[in-house]
Amino acid sequence: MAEAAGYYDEFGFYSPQPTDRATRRQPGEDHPTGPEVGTRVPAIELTDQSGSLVNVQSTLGAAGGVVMFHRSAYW
Amino acid sequence: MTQLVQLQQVAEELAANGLALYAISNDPVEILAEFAADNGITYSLLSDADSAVIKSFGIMNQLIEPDEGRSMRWHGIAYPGTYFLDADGVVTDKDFHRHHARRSSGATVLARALGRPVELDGDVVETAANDELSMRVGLSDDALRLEVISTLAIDVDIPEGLHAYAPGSPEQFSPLDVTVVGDGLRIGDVRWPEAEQLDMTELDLVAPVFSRTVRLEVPITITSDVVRLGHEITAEAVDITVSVTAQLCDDVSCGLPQRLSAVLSTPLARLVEPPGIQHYVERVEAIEAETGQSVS
Repeated sequence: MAEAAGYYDEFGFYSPQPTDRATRRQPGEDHPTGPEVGTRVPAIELTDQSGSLVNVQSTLGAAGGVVMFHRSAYW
Repeated sequence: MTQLVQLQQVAEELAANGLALYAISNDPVEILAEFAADNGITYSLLSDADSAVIKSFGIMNQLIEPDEGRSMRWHGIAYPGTYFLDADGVVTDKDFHRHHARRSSGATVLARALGRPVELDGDVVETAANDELSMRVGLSDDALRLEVISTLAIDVDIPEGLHAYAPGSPEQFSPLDVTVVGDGLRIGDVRWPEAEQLDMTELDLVAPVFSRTVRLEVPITITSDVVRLGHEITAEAVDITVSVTAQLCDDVSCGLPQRLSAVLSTPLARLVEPPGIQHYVERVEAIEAETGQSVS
């Protein structure tokens, strides 16, 4: 099989786009990961997909919740 | 976008266990509304359009300059990661990966959120047994997907009245050990359950042991050696070979160390990819075919 067009980053990860493209730059091992275990997270009040304002702290479930930060729904 | 779809598959079970689910990005509300409608997302997709929350968490991606990819809103994105919160909003666990493409599967997130072993997909299970030992090997998901971290589970059954030594036992004992191999896989460290402490007074020793069913879990991903973004999958499945070695003992004596292996044929599946990736790959390949030169 011919080698497919593309690029490989330092992790050996194949990318169809150049690895120096802004969204493919890799942070260092010590990149920030925000609030540590055992600490309270900052207040979150944002608009959801239906246009409603959602306050995370006041809508957590009885056991708490899962908050996932992602890069984009679209790319 | 893949992980949003993966999380939808476990959203109801999280809710049934008292856990709310939120996904945050700097996407505008309109984009989130369209994505939610197209992909059947029912949990909260929150729009942090000016990245204020992302900044307050201290996780804004600093590698993207303000003028880069403006139309795509690259500047202001977060380093992707997941927080597990208790009912007071205190972090109980978090999951960040250096590589942007690496993320936990829905089933892996669910098990971590609930603090319990993963449930195995009924179609990706293999068993092996000999006279004494038996094991069941399975995957948390229906297939492996590029850089999505699934959980490989290995249930080792030890007959009643016998035990196997656990890692950390005195050196005269052969502890339970497991190896996992397969082409194009990235395999993480084995997560061991807590062992019982066996007090052997006549030997003046206390050793950690396992009895009955022992659940071992191993994070596992398929890499771009096998599955490539924007490309069709050329292999339908990969073989994951799991070998367990154990020395079974009763209160008086031990048998010889024995080895048991199983090969789990694991399906591969494509990610839910943004359409742009596919178009980009097709264009690059077309130009290369036409010019006979590599695009770089």
